Amino acid sequence: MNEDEIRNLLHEMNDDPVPADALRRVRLGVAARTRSRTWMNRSRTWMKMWSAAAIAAAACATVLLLWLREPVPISQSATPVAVLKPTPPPLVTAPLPIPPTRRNRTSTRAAVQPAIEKTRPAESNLVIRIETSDPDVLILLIGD
Amino acid sequence: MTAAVMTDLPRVRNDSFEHVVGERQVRILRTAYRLIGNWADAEDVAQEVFVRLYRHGLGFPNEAALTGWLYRVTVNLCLDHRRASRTAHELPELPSLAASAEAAAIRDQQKQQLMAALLRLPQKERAALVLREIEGLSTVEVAEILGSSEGTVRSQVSKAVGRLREIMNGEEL
Repeated sequence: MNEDEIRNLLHEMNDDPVPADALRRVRLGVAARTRSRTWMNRSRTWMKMWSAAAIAAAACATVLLLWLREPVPISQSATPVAVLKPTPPPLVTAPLPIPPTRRNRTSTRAAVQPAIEKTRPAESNLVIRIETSDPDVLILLIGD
Repeated sequence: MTAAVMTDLPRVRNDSFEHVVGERQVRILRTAYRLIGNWADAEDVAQEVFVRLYRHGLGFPNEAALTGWLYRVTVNLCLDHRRASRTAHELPELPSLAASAEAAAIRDQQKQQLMAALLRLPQKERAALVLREIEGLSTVEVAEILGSSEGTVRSQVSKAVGRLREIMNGEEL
């Protein structure tokens, strides 16, 4: 037998019948395996969906519980660790005008220039004290 | 026939899985039988090929891609099968031609003898020969399926035919 005869024989083998039983068994086997796989895939999908739903429900419940919970008061310690006392600012005193020896119109006008004294009390309110030439008159400006 | 199937025709969109199985199971089963040598194992391989196709899906760009994929999986599964059961397989005895005098029977005997000789070939050579000479695929297609070059496929087919001639003529060393 030469190589051409072998090639012809090989080509003829392409037309050889395949047993019908073998074909049927393949078809049935494939159908059974793919059907069971389809069922498994479906059940797996359902499992995934239910798991996701359960996780989402648990998360919602947790958020709701946290939201509805009463706030706990923050306990303050009876003795503070450190107390800062505000230091009063230094008293600013404007130079007092020299009292005039004679009372006249011009000197009175010059004496009208008030002596301004700014003081900031401990309550942190700004108080401006204005001293006039009259010792009985004192103007106090209290800021907010 | 196969050459027409392997052309780059666009995939038919309404092809169902059952339709693809019915259309191609003969070729896949026959190829598996030529590579393995018995129908029972060939059936198992063919089943596995189609189950893998089911898992993979039918999203192939064209008919050639689908056919190539089916042949590739078939050949790989058959090679794995032969590798796994190598120790269990004895080299097949060649049937005697003197058993029957009639011409048709002689032809059948020759085919059986050739089939037995085929199973004595190295796996890669056998796969190349079955796809090229029996299934009628082109050298390019066989090279693509086996993951080798066209030159390698030509060489494997040529060597395989030479070996078959030696075996059939009793020239085997």
